[in-house]
Amino acid sequence: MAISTGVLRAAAERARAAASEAGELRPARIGKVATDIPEAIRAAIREDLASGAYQRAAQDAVAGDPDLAQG
Amino acid sequence: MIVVDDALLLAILAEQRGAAEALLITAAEAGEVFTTGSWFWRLARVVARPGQGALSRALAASSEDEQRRVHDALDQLPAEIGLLSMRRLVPVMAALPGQLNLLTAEAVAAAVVLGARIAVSTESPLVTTAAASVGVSVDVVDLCL
Repeated sequence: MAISTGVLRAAAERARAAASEAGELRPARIGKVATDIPEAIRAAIREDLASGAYQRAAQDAVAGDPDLAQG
Repeated sequence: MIVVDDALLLAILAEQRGAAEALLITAAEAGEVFTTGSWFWRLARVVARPGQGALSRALAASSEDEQRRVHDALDQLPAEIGLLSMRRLVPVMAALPGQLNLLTAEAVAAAVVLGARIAVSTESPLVTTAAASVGVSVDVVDLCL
């Protein structure tokens, strides 16, 4: 059965209303994201993200799990 | 609002310095950044398993205290990053057209509910095609040194 746009719109409106009522349409806290990661590790993360090593590691980590494939 | 993938989430958590990352960090500080459970789970899987990259080498060379600080930072999603629950998203995921995997359905449903764009670090035909079918934009963010 094909899903109509109207069905999707109605589902989204219900979800949005429930999330709004629960205060979930914004993060729980607004402000700077601060983490306690040492500079040497930040540099390593930067290298992995720029070189594609992180993305390859992610593909390896979820290999065999099609639900987590980003494709 | 922006829904970011695991790599962009990692860039934000590690406070990376590039121009693209700076824009994401500014958006996060304004309360405009969400991720999904699937992308948070992908990041957790990478951090939990030893690999071949610079991060794995740096962690191996770090003290136990430094390793604990890194795992604490990456295991706990900061409150400044939004995350919609499956309680809200599953009905929307079920209404999306096509046969989608969990990661794609959750990301597109989150974007639909939030009226958000999706930002990914690499081309992702699954996400892009599904998003386009319901009018959601997908940006590919280049993470350069």
